[in-house]
Amino acid sequence: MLCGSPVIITICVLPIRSDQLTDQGHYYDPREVAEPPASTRLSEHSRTPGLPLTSTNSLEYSKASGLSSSGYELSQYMNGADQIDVDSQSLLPPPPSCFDPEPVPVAPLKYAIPHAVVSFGTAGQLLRVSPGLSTKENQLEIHSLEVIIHHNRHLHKVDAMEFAHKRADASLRDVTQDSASAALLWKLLILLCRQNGVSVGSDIAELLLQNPSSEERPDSRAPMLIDFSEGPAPVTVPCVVGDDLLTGTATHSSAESSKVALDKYTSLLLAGRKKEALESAMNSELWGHALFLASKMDNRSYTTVLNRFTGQLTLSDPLQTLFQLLSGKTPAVSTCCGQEKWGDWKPHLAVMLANETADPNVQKKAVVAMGDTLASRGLLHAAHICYLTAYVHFGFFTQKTDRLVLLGSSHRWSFSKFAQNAAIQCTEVFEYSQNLGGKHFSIPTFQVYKLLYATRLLDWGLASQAYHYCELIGQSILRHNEPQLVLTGEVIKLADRLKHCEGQLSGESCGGAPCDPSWLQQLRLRLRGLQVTTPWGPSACHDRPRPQSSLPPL
Amino acid sequence: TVMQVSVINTVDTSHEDMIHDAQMDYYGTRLATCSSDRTVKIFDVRNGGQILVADLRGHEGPVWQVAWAHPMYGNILASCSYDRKVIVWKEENGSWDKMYEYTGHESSMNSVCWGPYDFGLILACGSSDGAISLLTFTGEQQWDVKKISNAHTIGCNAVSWAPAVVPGSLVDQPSGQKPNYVKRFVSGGCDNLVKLWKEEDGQWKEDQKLEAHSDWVRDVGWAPSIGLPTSTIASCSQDGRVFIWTCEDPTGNTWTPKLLHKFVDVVWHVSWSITGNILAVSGGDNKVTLWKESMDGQWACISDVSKGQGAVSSITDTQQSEQ
Repeated sequence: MLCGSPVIITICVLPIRSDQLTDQGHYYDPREVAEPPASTRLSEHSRTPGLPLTSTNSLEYSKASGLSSSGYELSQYMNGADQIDVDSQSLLPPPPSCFDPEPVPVAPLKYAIPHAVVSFGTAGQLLRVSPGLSTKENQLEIHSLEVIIHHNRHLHKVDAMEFAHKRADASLRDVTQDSASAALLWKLLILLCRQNGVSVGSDIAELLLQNPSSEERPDSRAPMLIDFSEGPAPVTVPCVVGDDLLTGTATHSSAESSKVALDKYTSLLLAGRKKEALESAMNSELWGHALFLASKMDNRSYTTVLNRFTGQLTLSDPLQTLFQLLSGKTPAVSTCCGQEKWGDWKPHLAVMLANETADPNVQKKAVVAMGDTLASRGLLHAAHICYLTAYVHFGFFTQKTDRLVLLGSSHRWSFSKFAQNAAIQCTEVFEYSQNLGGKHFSIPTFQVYKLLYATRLLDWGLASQAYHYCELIGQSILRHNEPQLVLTGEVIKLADRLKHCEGQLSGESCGGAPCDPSWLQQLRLRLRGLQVTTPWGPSACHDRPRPQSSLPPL
Repeated sequence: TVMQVSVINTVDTSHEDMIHDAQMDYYGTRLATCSSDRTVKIFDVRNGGQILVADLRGHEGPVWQVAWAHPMYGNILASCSYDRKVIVWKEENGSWDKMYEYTGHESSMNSVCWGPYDFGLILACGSSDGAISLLTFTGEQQWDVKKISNAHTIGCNAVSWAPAVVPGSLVDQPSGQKPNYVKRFVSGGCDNLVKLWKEEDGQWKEDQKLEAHSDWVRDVGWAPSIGLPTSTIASCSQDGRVFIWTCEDPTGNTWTPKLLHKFVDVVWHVSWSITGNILAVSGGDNKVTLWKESMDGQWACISDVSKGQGAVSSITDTQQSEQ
């Protein structure tokens, strides 16, 4: 496509000054014409007779003399895509100072016609040049990338909570199986924010038991379930709501039969037949007596009674879970949850969190195992709630055995899907909530994602916010002692590039020269320190010594 | 979300002929342009202004491209021209002068690109003679030259450096070992090929040959990166196509092309934002479009930058407005 104005194509065989031949090797030998001529053939005898060929001089001459005659030759190189208006060009004799008498294969012009030019500036600027042949036509515009967004990201507590609320609502509008858990995760974060990062198990338990989601089955609301577990069935007595397990005054027992049972039990004891008495008590569901007696006998008996007692419950009963946990075992639910038969996982987690065990590790292990099971069933957000409440540490994208890298996404996904903004924001709100307690808290492995987020802010032209993120990340790095070589280097690069925009906005300057804020200076020192302790660096793979003037002022 | 793009400044360059390139410097304070009028101009564009800082004359043919070096080396600009020359200009004591002139090629110099500052002051140049030169400043006004002959048959049109950071290193567990830096760049040529080059033991070698275009490759761009796992290259061609090439594996061996779009006309430029997330494309239809990759890996056009769209500030130059 050609613009309206005629194309000026200037082909000049350029005069060679002798001093130009010195440094760079041999002088070109003309190639065979049979090959597509790739190069400008610079004639040996093209030196201007007497007329110094300056740049402006030559241009004016070309313009004055009219258009060149090489349009047809060029068209061979242009593959027909660029139509050259040959008609409008008269075949004038070439200016004597420019042209070699014999036809010379010449290099094609990189651009023979006006073309739009585009490039990016540093802080969300876009340069655009409208194509044109003259000053009036070739307009250069600097654009600013603006974006229509409806919320700003200050990290105020109220804003963070509001943001989390919106996210929770948005999650509920999804229809995936895990979406209710996603909403719950956000609500957990809201809770943490509200309580300045502090939470006790019972708070979370309460949250877990609120608002059963719509996709739960009606019969799973009740903690007591008809037992249809597939595991090894203990003595299964159907539990009906309202059972009083301890005394076994089930609806099918009358007061009379319990008196008979008690009498039988007493008489066995009076005869010194403890084991039989125990068995009798269990069969008659005199659990209180059975437990008391067994507690005074050997461990084995006691364990037997306990097992028989808890075996009354269905396996999927949260009480069962609690009993198992308090016994120091990883509850069955931890490895079985998520399946329909086991009902809702939330009451189980609630009961585990609300009750401290003698050894907190048991609880943590049980919760983490539950998270693993949920994760393996694709219930990602549910799993993350477990991990969060068990204080699982945040890991690395590349370590697939790590459990948690970003809240709400899986590092087994592709990176771009994994590192979506929602996940970064979710993790950030969590990190923020932990900071509200007044202590400095940051997740070291999470900082790289804040940097990624900063670049996304920059994409949308929010240079100032991107710079602010750099500062936050920088301060976090300085607080940790963990060496984060790549992150430190990249934060410095980005902050360095954006600092002028920031300076412009706030009107700062240090006597006209760029001045680094102290956090950036400290960060540079930290990077130097890291580079020294880890012998590395581009200079190590340089062929040549770095010149003095190019030592990086890090 | 739709991106709006609006004009904040219009610069009257006073170039008397086609403008072939316009580049902002590292900090966004200066703008360099080059033209078929054989000049390179530098403007101070801070605070919406446009002050001509330098009008550099030294080329004897159309100047195709300019490139700013990292400011830690000073204010340095490279330009390349149809006159076979690459000139490196430097600002000393407030005035711009030639720092170095390179004439080691037998034909038009089509493209110049500075390497990552981590590697020193090193310039890649591509020529219509098919060769690519790597010029390394070694101090004391000395430059070391390495040439890759026959990089592209018929000619090389574009060169672009890979970022220094090792792909994936940002999100990987710190190993405590020294990072394995490798100098790499990409080139595009009249052989319709996109080629990847890497330096090994001080020698430059062809690393990959990427075939997808059916006509001359006009421009290539290696996306900047903060160290994420994926490496990305954009290429555009006379054939109207723009391809996005991605490599996920750390060894850098498997590059997969994805067609961004097939335009109706030649595509001249591809240009990455400094974050490497947005690609600007300009073509023979003289439209400029911006592209971004969505989460599921599809590229979508997020903006069609029209001339003079939604100006927010007054045009400061005294020249009459265009239409």
